[in-house]
Amino acid sequence: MFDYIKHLYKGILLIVIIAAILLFSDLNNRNKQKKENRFFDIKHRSEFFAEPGETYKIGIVYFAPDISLDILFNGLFTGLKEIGFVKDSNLQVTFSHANGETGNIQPVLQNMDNKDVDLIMTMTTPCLTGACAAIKNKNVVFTYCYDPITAGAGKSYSDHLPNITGVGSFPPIEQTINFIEKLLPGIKSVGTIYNSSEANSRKVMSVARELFKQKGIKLKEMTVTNANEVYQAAQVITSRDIQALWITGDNTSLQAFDGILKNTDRSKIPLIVNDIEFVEKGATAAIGIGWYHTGYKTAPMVARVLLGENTENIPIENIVEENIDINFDKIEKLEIQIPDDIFDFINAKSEKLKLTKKLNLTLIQYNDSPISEPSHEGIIDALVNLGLRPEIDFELTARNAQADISTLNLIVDATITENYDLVFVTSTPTLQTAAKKIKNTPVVFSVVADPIIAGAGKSFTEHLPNFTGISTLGDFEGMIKLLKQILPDAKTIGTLFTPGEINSVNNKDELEKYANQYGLKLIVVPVNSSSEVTDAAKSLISNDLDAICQIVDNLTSSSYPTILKISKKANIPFFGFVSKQANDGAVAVVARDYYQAGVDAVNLANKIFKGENPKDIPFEFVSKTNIIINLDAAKFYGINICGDVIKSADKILY
Amino acid sequence: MTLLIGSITIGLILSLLAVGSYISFRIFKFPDLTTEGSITLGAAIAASLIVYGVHPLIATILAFAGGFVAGGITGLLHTKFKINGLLAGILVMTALYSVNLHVMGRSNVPLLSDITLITYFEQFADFITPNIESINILGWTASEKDIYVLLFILITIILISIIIYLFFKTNLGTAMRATGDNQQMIKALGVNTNLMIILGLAISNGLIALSGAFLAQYQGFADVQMGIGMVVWGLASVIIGEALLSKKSLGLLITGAIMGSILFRLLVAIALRWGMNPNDLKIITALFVFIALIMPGMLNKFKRKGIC
Repeated sequence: MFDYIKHLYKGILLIVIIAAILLFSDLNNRNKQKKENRFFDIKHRSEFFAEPGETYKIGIVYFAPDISLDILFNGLFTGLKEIGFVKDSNLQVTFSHANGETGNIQPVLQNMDNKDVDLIMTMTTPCLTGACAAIKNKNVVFTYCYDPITAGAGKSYSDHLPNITGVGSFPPIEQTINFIEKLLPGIKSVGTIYNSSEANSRKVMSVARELFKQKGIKLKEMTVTNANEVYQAAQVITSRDIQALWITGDNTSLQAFDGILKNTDRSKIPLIVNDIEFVEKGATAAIGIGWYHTGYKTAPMVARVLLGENTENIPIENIVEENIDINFDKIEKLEIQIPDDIFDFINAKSEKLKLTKKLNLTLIQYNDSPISEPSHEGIIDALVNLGLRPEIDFELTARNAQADISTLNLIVDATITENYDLVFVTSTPTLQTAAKKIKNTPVVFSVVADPIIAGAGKSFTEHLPNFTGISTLGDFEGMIKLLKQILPDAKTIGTLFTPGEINSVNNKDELEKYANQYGLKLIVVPVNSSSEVTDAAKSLISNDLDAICQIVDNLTSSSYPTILKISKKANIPFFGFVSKQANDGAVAVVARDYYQAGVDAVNLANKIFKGENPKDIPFEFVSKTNIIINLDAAKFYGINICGDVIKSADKILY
Repeated sequence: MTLLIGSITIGLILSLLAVGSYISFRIFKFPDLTTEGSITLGAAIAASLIVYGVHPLIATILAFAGGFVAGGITGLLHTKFKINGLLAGILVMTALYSVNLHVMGRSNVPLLSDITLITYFEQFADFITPNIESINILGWTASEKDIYVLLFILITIILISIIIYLFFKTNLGTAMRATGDNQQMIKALGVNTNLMIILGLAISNGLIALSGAFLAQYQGFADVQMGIGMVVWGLASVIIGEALLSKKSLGLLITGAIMGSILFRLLVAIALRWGMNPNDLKIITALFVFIALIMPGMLNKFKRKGIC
């Protein structure tokens, strides 16, 4: 045995030396936090982590369904999942709500108290207030509540009812008033509607009254007792002399938000809210709390209580992530001039990135092709357009496996080792390798025809948690429609395809689908290497074709000149999906822009830079399709192109 | 650390390819190009069967069988139809491209959500040490699952190597080795050399397909183009392995091929880690092989001149 090893020493030595070199290249990635002299150390998953094999039951009680709450749930369950509490798996959740009526809160809470749950969560202030009185035996964790102290949860954040703790999110009142003043300079009076029996609204109003007074703005209040009264209250208040209506997070008013909106729209009064989510529903502007963030931050507290920590010892927390959103449509209709500083503020908040450090990015490509290069350029240009300076604000390391699958694996491993902030990948095999290996870094893919078939997710919205990206499936319907417009009598079209490329096969199937739908017959000829293209193209045109409609794949996108030449000889018009084919004599091109695919990938990446979770960012199709018509080529084939087609084209070549 | 573990794991998986290449290239002196087709065939069979619901272990074994048949056909073309070895390999490799497309039904089969052998290894990791996510070794953190996968692959490769070693020590195995060394002599002893060549190539390609099956499960998909360049990887590993040995014997050569494969991966990993221009990747790979090829000769020259 010893003798055996003796003859292997050179190899073993070399492996050890090279492994050591590799490790030392990584020296700066060593975990520097551990200062004490421990050479071997095992890291446990998290301070709070679900016990394996244990099932937890929580009951959730809230006032009524609303969109902000859905967003908070999203954050909450994401946060819980990350520490091992997976909803519908080891975490059973029972939901119940009071249907928007204060009177229902007590029975709902009592019912939950009698159920077999380990913990009750309350959302909304009225439910918390109810829980303070009704629930004595079970632990309560609250969230989605402006001011837990007013709600009755305790005397202070650390001195609270023994079985109740949670997260409060007091709205940014002062900022709201400043915001209104900036948006509407010289404003004299602001109206508001709230339910005076909601403790949170009362608290907000008492703070707001003082602040408005200091600014010299009149606050005209309307109180309601249930959602049915809101519409009328809105009618009344909008007919008074107010220049803006402000609705805070009052559950009752928000229940009847549409009623308020109708009135403010009619009387052209800007509607300012404290819940960002209502901007989409038609509010003019919002300054408020990012509820996803609040939900996410509530998760560890829920975990602590579920794992047996005494609620009495967990102080209440105040978590507010300030957020601004503006409905530019409404702003325009109301003819409001947005002052520069608000513009800057919104930009600072949402559009532009505030970098705390240099972004370390990487791009992995599988091979060099006429498709991979423009997408690479698109990514770089789009990053620069975000206002990032190369080498100063970001660094993009590009790697290419040169069509070797094992190198691709190593590149992905190297990427994991080097701790990038975000990874871009192009092409299907690259996406798949990354999907298998990269678990913690966000990955944005592009130039993947069908990410679902590639295995990146079940649908465009339900996908791998750290992945999102751009699908570049061609616009086949657009192509077929265009072809029918240019050649109304066409019956048969043809294309070459590469059975060895999954993109090619998908593209062919899609084209066939739409061709059949529009009454065209598609003839396909397979081709496996660039040397076969000439023969394949010749065999294709020997069918009685009205047009060649060449789909995209790696092989034909580099050898299309051959196909074009043959189509010219046979006088069969050529239609393509790659923009530069138009320059070379294609009659028309419907191009998914691969440059744009790079740009779109960066736009998704930008959302991630801003803190969105890739899990919540759906996959998208590439945003731009270019229709390019070559009139010269059309003349060559003796085709008359009508005015409508020319009008619809993005680019005309003569 | 992830890169180190990753490159050793890939090196080990592809060491089956190296051992397969060693059997055809060194034992039979047969320049076998079937490799590029059979590694994909192994991946295709394993991936398709796993997606179909077959147990991954059975799928992996059937992948070996697939490669075995492919190699056998190359051998048959060479021995029965007297086709030049290089050509026979090219013929089968070309045909396998279509076969692989049929096996998979399309050009790419993802395994991301299916249970593979690798998933079993990872589950085993959770079973033994359920609460550990990563391990800190001398300051470098490594994912616990990656380490388990590496260990299991290592054990698997050692077991397979021992089986191959023992096989080539049997009478049949010895006859096969002798066929490569001296066909005339072994024919005179009454051994059917054609059968030996067919069987040898079959085993060689079976191992290569096995390598493909593991690779597909490790990286999470099979792609019809994944075989490109694999002949070079296999031969390079064999050559680097040989350059490392001071004495040549069956056991040492098999171990050498495995070490060569790991070393080759590590070298590529370093090239990647040091951030060289991505366009130069292939030329650097070629350079490694070149150095490995001339190294033993150079060392001997120096030795003769008494320099070292």
